[in-house]
Amino acid sequence: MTDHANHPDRADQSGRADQTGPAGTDGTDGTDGVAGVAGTDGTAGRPRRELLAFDRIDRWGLVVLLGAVALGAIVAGVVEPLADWVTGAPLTPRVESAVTVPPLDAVGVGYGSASYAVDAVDPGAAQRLLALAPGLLAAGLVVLSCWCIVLLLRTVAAGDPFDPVNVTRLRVLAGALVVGAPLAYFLQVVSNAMVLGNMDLGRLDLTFTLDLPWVPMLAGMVVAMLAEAFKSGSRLRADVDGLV
Amino acid sequence: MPVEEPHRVLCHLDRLLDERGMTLAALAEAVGVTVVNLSVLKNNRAKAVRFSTITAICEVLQCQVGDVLTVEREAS
Repeated sequence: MTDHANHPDRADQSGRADQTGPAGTDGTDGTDGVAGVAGTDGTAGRPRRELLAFDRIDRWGLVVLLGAVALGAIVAGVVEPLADWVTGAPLTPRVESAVTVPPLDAVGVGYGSASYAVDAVDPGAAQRLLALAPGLLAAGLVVLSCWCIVLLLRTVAAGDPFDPVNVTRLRVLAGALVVGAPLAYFLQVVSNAMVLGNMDLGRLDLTFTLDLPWVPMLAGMVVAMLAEAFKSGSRLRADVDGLV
Repeated sequence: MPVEEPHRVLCHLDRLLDERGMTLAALAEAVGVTVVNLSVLKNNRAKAVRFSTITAICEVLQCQVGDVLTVEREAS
């Protein structure tokens, strides 16, 4: 027991500051990448910057980057196809077909399939809409994902990353990656096939190679796992809510 | 979210502070917790109290745990 404990009138001079309330109630969020460090002799040292901390500059940098990604997705998936429609530019669906070569040239040489650039000159409105659909879906998914990440960042910046709503945000993000990415891919394949179905491709035989977007799907699984971790975190957060 | 568990623990910080002519802010500073958190405890809105917090409160107020917290009798 310390000396001041026996003298309540002097107790307020003890300067104890080793206990703080729950995160957020005492005004600290611990996310600014600055750690208070006491010197080895017990004196308070100058705040030291944590190099690996995800601080305010990193957050703003990521927000700007996400904004650029979302803008790029909208331009590439929606604005450009619409501009092509307005200006009457031809559609250029990708065609995969087996490579055909004269028999003499093929001796000892292996040939597979190749991609061809086909111009669909003066396509109808239905073809334009079909060509627009995959880009629209992809842009929507990218914007949704970026928005989820920005909202997540806001709670991290506020020092409350385990807000239960973040579990939902992470699950939406995981869904966009695991389900949305292959859906956009299949829509692209179907759209391509439907546009090409009305065209005379000469002697080209359409081939199909399954090329699923594995990287986004794998990233989505990791995000889904993170959502479960955040669910545990939000349970712990609820447990310490009201702890004095 | 966990289910809210009802309790009948009452906090008597109000009376103890009155008897000692001490303010909540002074107690908060002496104990080392925020006024907000101590206010939560005083107004019976706390769900849990750290042993270290209750120890510090008892030290500063020169009292026992039973003076700070009591369990209300169940209404029959």
